[in-house]
Formats: sequence, structure tokens, C-alpha cells
Amino acid sequence: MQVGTLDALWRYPVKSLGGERLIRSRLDTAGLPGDRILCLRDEGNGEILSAKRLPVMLGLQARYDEKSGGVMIVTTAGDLIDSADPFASALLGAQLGRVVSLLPLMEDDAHYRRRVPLNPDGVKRLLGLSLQDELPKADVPDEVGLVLRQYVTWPGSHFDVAPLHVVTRQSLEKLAGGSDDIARLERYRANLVLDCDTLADWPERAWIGHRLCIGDAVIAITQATVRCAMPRYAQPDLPDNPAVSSRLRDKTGHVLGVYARVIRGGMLECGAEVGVEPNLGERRYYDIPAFAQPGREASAPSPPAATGCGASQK
Amino acid sequence: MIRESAEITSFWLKPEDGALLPFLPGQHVIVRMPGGGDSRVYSLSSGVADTACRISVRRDPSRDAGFTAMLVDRIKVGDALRINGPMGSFAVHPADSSPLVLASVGVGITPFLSILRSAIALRPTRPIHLFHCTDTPAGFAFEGELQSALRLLPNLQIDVLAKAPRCSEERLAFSQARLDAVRLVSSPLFGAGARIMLCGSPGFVERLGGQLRAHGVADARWTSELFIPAGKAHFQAGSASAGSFGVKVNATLEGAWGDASNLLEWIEAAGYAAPNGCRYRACGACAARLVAGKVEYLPGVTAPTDPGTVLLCTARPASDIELETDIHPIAG
Ligand SMILES: Cc1cc2nc3c(=O)[nH]c(=O)nc-3n(C[C@H](O)[C@H](O)[C@H](O)COP(=O)(O)OP(=O)(O)OC[C@H]3O[C@@H](n4cnc5c(N)ncnc54)[C@H](O)[C@@H]3O)c2cc1C
Ligand code: FES
Repeated sequence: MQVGTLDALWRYPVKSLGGERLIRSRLDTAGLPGDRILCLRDEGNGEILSAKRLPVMLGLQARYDEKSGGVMIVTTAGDLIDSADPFASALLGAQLGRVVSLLPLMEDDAHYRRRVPLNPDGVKRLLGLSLQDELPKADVPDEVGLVLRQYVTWPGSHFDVAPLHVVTRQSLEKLAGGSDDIARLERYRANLVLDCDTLADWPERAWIGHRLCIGDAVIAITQATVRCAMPRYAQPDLPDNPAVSSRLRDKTGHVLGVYARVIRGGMLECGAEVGVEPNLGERRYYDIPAFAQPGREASAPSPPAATGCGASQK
Repeated sequence: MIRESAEITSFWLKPEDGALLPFLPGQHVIVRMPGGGDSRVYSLSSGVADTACRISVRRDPSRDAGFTAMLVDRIKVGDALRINGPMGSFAVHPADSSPLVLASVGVGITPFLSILRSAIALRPTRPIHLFHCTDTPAGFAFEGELQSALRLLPNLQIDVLAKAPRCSEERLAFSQARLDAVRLVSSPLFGAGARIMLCGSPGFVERLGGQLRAHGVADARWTSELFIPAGKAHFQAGSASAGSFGVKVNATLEGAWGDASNLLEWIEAAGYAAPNGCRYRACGACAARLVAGKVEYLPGVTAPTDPGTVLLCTARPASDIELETDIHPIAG
């Protein structure tokens, strides 16, 4: 059943930095080529940095060069930092006021871990809620919640939860209530923005558990996206806007958009038709790491890495 | 340890636990005494291609106490110091070929030594004009190092401005003039688009910075590093002007300003960790973005030039404020 068209396509080569808008792109089972291939690690505590913690990250913009496989980062002053430059990490650190390393995906599970797992209060703080607030009702499976409390990004990837994040124009417009600033796509960091024909509110919520066909690609919608304070923060040409957070709380209960994984890759192009295909039984939505599979206890994370260099010498 | 002059001693530091993180010439580190204790901020004076990193420390000969006295008199080769960093945005790309006009006084030359040593290794053709002020022109600190830089960097020019006379030698020019902004902007390199970098005592940097501003030099054309000394200044807890302002950080933490002595301590008292280094307004590690409201600084503390930046360790609210920085819960 056709539900709309693919309106916009975005990728974010470096986790939590600004991304780039595309007209068309291949879609692989791992996601969009060049999406979240790098991250910044805070050498102070050894943890992957996120704009949830360090909003100034959103002021830097990353572009992926498909030919070279390299990433170019544009600073707020308009300077370029090439990911292949041996001084790229130091340049980014000077921009962000942190000691950071620019890193690709790593084999080692420790790369993705939080130094201290989140408890429920920690989850609320991360989401920008006050401790009296209820946690958003997003129907996140227990084992997924367990992984998210232990890891900054989904282990083995620099994605928060899943390789694709999907929102509809209709949801953004309903959220924005006429404010162009609240409706700006950049705030929600989606990969796919869909324009729907439906009159229903929050159309993407109805797709959870089902599949979307976009051109010859097929994706499975896994869960709703829980929103933190990130959408309100300033970006190039976008001011910090607290109203984004209050609208998200009041209109959506901090739940907007959906995550998806790729069932079959293909070519995506803006304007392509999008159809919904009801689920036909397959329900394997996540690659749950062994420790978080039902019936297993979570293992303790390794202690924080020591920082800095040591001894004086002649 | 190398004695550079009567007052300045260099320390070569080798990492104990793995490689030193890459740094940019101009950046600084925070040095902590063995066994914890006091810390101070020092610019790296080594180049990015050197196999160890160097700090060069001026010890005030008239004082027997203090951090530098401990460092120079007590620390022996082989002792372990704790280093944090590198950090700071007073920095250049070591392999870039854009021209630079540098101005330093005394030990303020340290970040520029790093720039010169890095250029020797990675970009010997880089056009650099260094103005250096010293009290003692005869055998001033790092003279030998500057002489060899002149041999290895064909586009380097050095003007030494000293209180006492000395004859110029080829490209090492001496004069008894006082350094002012006119000299800096008259450098042919400034005309060719060079960025000006100022470094040294707060008095020197603020004087030249003020002159550059008065000359209409755009902010983007110059930067500065102040060698701010460690002060013990603190706001009096609960002092009247603190008021009962609301403080909001990152939409994550919100509360009323009580009687904390500065914003960094307020955040920590609320159960969050925020980045910090020196805790006395020298290193810039605690910089946060001021989203809304006004802050005030400790008496005698220089406010950062960018009004959108707050140094949490020495500031407190002067109205309801909203900040953005990298905070995270200390536990959980
Ligand atoms: C970004 C940055 C980079 C720096 N880089 C360098 C560098 O490369 N090399 C370098 O040498 N320094 C550098 N400094 C300065 C350095 O951090 C220290 O401030 C400096 O070494 C002085 O330390 P101290 O222990 O001697 O003085 P402190 O004990 O910290 O005293 C601070 C000041 O108070 C005065 N003072 C304190 N107590 C007394 C007293 N009882 N009587 C008289 N006067 C007193 C001292 O004269 C001094 O000026 C840098 C500073 C910054 C912020
Ligand atoms: S902690 Fe160093 S400037 Fe504030």
C-alpha cells in the first residue's frame, strides 16, 4: 500500500556532528554508505562523545567523499579539517575545548561502552528530563534498554539504536504548530524524511513492526525514537530554541520518529514512492549482544581509562 | 632538565603510559606535582615531531616558595609528573603554510618555539615574523635555538626588542624600542594576510591587544594567550551580590544559585562532573557557552574576550543564566 514519497535524505559521517543532505544514495544493509563512520572519543574519560553531552559538536559539519572514503569537517569559522590529516584529532580538540580522538568503527567492544552504566535517573538526565518526570513511553524492549544503558552507541556501530532514523513531514509539522524554526529538519537528525498522504497524526507510529518499501529497498521499522534535548540546541543558521523541547514534551511525550533496520538494500532517490508492507512474521529486529540476551546478567564495564602522560625525563 | 638561562629551565617529558596524544603547536598542558597536589599550566615548547614533549618554566629568582620553585629545585630526572591535556585553541596547524606574526615577552616565547620547531620538521618555507621582548639581550633564553631556526627556516625573521643595547646579527635584529601594535601591523607578513599571535604576561598581552583593537584590526586577525598566574581569589560564600538566580545547564540540570563560590563548584555540588583543569581561569578547560543571561567574574579575573564563553571556574551568575557545556552525572 503506498503511503507517500521520500522527501529528504541525510547522512551524518561523524556521530553528533552536523551532516549533509543528499539527492540520492545507495542503501546497504549496514545503512547509508558514509553514515556515522567516525566518532569522537573524549580522551578525558575514554567514552564516545555525543552532542547530548557537548552541544557545540552540532556546530561542526561533516561531509563524506565517496571516492576517497574520507570525511571533511567544516568548522564554525568555515575552516576545513580533513579526517586524513594526522592532526585532525588535535584540530577538532582545539575546536571543542576537549582532548579528543577522531576514530573509525572499532573491533573492541569497550570502544562503545559507557564508563558508568546509566541508572533510571541517569537516563532521565540524559534525555533532559527532570527527576520527577516519567520516562517516555516508547515500548523499548527490555533487552534493548539494557544495551542502551551500558553503551553510548549500539555496540559495533556509531548509531544510537539502529542504522536508519525515519520521520515524516506530517509529524514535524504537527510538532511545530506553525513554527518554521521548530520544523527544521536539521534538528531531528533523521536519515529519511517521508512525505505522507495520510491524515492520521504521527503516521510513522503505525508502522512499528512493519516494513517500508522505498524503490527496491526494504526497511523494517523497529521502534519509536525517544527524544533527548538535542533537537533544541543551536546549529549553523539555527538558534538554540527551548520551545523545541517543550513542544516535544507536550505534543509527543518525547517520542518522535522511528528507527529502522535494512532488510534489503537498494538505490534511494528523493521523490521515490514509499509503500507499507504488513509484517509477515519476521520479528528479528535487533542484534542483541550476548550479555543482554534474556536470562543473562549484565557484566560490569571496565574502569575508566587513565589519562595523560607521565614521567619527567632528561 | 636543561638550564636555558638564569631563570628558565626546560623539562623534557616522556609519557609513562603510551604515546603522548597529538597536539598543535601553541597548545598547553596542565602539570601536577607527583602525588597530586598543586598544578599549573604550561605551554608546550617542543615541536610536534619531537619524540618527547618539553615545557620551559621560568622560576622567579626572588621567591623560594611556590610551584615553580618546587618544580625547578626539587624535581629530579626520572620523577613522574601528572600531565593533563594538551588543550587550548591558541594553536596553529603545524604543516600549514599560512604566514604568522608572533609577539612574545620573556618566557611567553614557549608556544612560538613549538611553532618554529614544528615548521622546521613539517613546513620549513612557512613565512614567520617573530617579535620577542626580553630584559637581557646578552645570551637571552633560547638564543641558540632561535639562531638554528633562522638557519633552517628561510622565511623566518626575528626582531628582538630589549632594554639594553646589542648589535644585530644578520637576521637576528636587535633594537631598544618598545614593542607596539604599529610594528606588528607594519610587518610585511601582516600585509600578506598573516594572523597575529600574542603571548606572555597579562600586562603585555592586554596592552598590545588593546592597541590592535584601537587600530581596527579585526578579531579574526589576531589571537592571544595570557600566562595568567594562579590566584587564590574566591567569591565570598553567600556574598550579597550573588542574588538568588536560576541556573540552567544543557537543559539537563536546573536549580537555584545558592552560595557556591563559582559555577564549576555549583555544578559539582549538584552531582555532575564538568570539564576543568586549573580551576583558576588559566587553561580554558572549563569553558561553557552562555546561552542566556549574564555572568560576573572574580575580582581581578580577566573575562574571556568572547562574551558567549563562560569560564565556569571563576564566574558566577549576575542574572538568571543558561549554559551549555559537557556535564554528566558523577554516578549513574
Ligand atoms: C596558558 C598558560 C601557559 C603558560 N605557559 C608557561 C610557560 O610556558 N612557562 C612558564 O614559565 N610559565 C607559563 N605559564 C605560567 C605558569 O602557569 C605559572 O603561573 C608560573 O609558572 C608561576 O608559577 P609560580 O608557582 O612561580 O607562582 P605561583 O606560586 O603560582 O604564584 C603566582 C603569582 O603570585 C605571585 N606571588 C605569590 N605568592 C607570593 C609571595 N608570597 N610573594 C610575592 N609574590 C607572590 C608570584 O610572583 C606569581 O606571579 C603559563 C600560564 C598559562 C595560563
Ligand atoms: S578550569 Fe582552567 S580556566 Fe577554568
